[in-house]
Amino acid sequence: MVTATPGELLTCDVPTREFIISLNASRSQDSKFLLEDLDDTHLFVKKEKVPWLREQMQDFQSQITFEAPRRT
Amino acid sequence: MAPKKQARGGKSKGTDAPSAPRTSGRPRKSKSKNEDYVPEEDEDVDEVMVDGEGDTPYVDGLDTFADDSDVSDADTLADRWEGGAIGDFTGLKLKDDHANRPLWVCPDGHIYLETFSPIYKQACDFLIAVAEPVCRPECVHEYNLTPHSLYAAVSVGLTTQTIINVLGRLSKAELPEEIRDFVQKSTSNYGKVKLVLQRNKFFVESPYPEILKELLDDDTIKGARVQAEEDGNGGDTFVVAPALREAIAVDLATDGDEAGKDAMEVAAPEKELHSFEINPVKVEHVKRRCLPGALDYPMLEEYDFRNDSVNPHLNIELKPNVDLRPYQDKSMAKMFGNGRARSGIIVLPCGAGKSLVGISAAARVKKSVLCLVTNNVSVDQWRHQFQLWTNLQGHQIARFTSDQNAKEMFAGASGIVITTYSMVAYSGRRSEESTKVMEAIAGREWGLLLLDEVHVVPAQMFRKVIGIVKAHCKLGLTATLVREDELISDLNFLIGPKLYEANWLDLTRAGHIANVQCVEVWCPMTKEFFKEYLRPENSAKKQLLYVMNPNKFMACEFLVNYHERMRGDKIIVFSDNIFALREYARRMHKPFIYGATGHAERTQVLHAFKHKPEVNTIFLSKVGDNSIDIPEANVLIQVSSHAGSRRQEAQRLGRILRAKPKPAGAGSGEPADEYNAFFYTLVSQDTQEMYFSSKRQQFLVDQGYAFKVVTNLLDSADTASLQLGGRDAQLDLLARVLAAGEEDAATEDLADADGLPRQRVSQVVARRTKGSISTLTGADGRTYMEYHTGGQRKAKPLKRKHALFRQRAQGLF
Repeated sequence: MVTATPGELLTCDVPTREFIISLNASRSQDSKFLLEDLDDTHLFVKKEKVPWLREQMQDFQSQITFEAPRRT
Repeated sequence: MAPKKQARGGKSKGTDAPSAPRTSGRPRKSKSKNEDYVPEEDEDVDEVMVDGEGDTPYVDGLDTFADDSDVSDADTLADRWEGGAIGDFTGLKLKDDHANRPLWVCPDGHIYLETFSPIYKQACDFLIAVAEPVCRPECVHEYNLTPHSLYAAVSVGLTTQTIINVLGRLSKAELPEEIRDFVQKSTSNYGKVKLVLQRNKFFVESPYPEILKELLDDDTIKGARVQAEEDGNGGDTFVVAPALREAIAVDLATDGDEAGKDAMEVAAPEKELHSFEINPVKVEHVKRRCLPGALDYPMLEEYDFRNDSVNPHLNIELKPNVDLRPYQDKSMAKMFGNGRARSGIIVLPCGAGKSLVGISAAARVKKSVLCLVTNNVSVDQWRHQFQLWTNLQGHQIARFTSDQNAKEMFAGASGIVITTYSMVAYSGRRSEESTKVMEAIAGREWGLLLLDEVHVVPAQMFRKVIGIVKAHCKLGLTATLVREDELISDLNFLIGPKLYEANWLDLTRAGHIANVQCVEVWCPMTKEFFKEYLRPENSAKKQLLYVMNPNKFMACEFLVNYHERMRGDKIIVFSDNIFALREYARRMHKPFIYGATGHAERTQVLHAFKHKPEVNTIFLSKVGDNSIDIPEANVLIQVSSHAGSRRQEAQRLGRILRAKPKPAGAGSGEPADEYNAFFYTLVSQDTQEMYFSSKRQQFLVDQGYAFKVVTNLLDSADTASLQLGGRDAQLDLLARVLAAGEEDAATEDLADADGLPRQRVSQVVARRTKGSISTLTGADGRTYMEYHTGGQRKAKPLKRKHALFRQRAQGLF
């Protein structure tokens, strides 16, 4: 019997993959979204979590980006 | 990014752009700039939001629309301008020949200067005198008119009318009314109140007793006043000093350019000068209260050194072969414009000859000078410079440091004393010699107080020196007038206005400082290191992880090899983190210096670096930031740094800014834009370091340096030949990093010059041992020994011991 799980295939670079895996590890057991870790640049996640993942990445990026404040 | 900001609603608009003006109209023109858009109260918001970016929060936000939350002390023109949306100056009328004029003067106080205009030089000189430079890249400079900068302008002798006229002449459009009013208002009160130092006492004097009464209504100033003898009138009388009238008359005769309306009133010979004395410790507070923003009677502080017969004369002359460069001449002119010495700050890039500026100021004033520097190494450097440029003898220059041999006062009535801020500000117990010297320093009137690296003065500990030392004239020198806390503007009342600031790019073009190529190298984190970096339990080690990134290490090694072999350059690698410093240096087999390195070893390493061709690279920690003078380095690589300190970045760049001779083997006729110095910052991608790095670069970017970003440094390199190329070596390093102790993860703990909060991991402050009192005096066979914990140590000359004691002497040491 074949079991099929629907999900979304993510292609990303190595640091992003690490980031997503660490996000997954910090979630509680029932809200884990990582279905399968395929290789260095591909992941298989739950479909509905993808927009949230993008948001998280945006947040992370904005934390490490410095924007010069407008001076008076 | 725009969608993210809108979602927070109208209230946050006020705090997002703190200087956003209260809009009174024409918001439609700025519809395209959604970030700064602020809706007017009675406007129909729904109508405006038709472009489809509408979020309902705008409607909610209308009532809670915040006012300008932070009004600084001196409220700037930008706060008061209500002309509409930010950046919208379509109301300005251009003149017909606007193409010939170099300035855009905007109603909010910003001035933009075109550098490609034929009268750029003169316009630039004028603007430096009246406005504060904000950002000076290659093509268009930005300046800002503030009350402080106008106060500085008037103190060097420019009148209100001159400023307005010249601005009008140089401006492309008609000078806006707001600017005219602003200049007049800011400069009208200048020159009416004076701070005078006579016979070691401070007096506030003015020809207008009403102004003095107004000043005394203020609590701070009332509290600072010293009642002379007990009068019956309860201290309402002022000391009226006729003798000073001649000084004012001389004033009129010597400076024609200060004969504006204000000076005319002051000089009427029937006027008397009223004054009251203030407590020297409170001088700083009194001056601060008088600044624009508070009482708005900025105090004039000029020292008439030619007519000062009370202080003993010092016969100091610059040597005849000393040639001042044009910018050094200009800064001297600003300081001594009208025959008197003004107090203030001169900002010149590192390596441009600040010491010479300080020394020539001393040579003009010709009175005793007290020179304050940051550390003991600088004391020696300044002493050397004084002897190099002037005719002073060794006995006329005294050093006063914590070193045992250097607690002297000069012989004779006048001379130079060089000491450190910490020595003067020290409030604990001193040794007997120190106390004597301190009393001598605090008890006399100094002609000139030279403050090196003046940006450290606003710090709590160092500001006291201004109250302790009584000097007629104070000159602050620095390359980086920035701090990470907000105290930098305190220098306006602590010392004086900024007299001159040099343009780094101009100096580069003229060949006075090196032409530096600034490069930011992005090194991706390796998979394993990034994984550890993201783990929440490693949060204390984050810095260590991104500094020890193997890709960064490989980049560093690649750069060092390239520059050493291909170009034969001298390289300095900086790292704040000690663990990283040692790892990098050991793996690359290069010498390193950090706080705990002994003095003898430091001199040995530096000597080898300067003179031997085999030692071309050294690794330095924070100690290298200010204390070491290394003129011949060409390349700087920064591996790890201290949070977002802009000052540190600029000071490090200063290590290589000294003008370079042509490298051997470069053809004749070096073209103007060939770089002869390189500054690399290695940054680990996707980590906090990116944030700090951008923040640190702000100061340099404002001076005109453009950072080139290189993301593919190692693409052309043969990674197998580099040390950490293999995965096993990387994993091994990772294990070592994770095993490193807590104290290794923090940066070196030296005195912080910036005001940044210390990144301190829990440190052991005290060490407990059990014992008894008799143990200390030798009962258990233990002896009590005094030792120095770092700092300078001179090799003790071997003393000849008597035969009976010779063995004992050898046994103990």
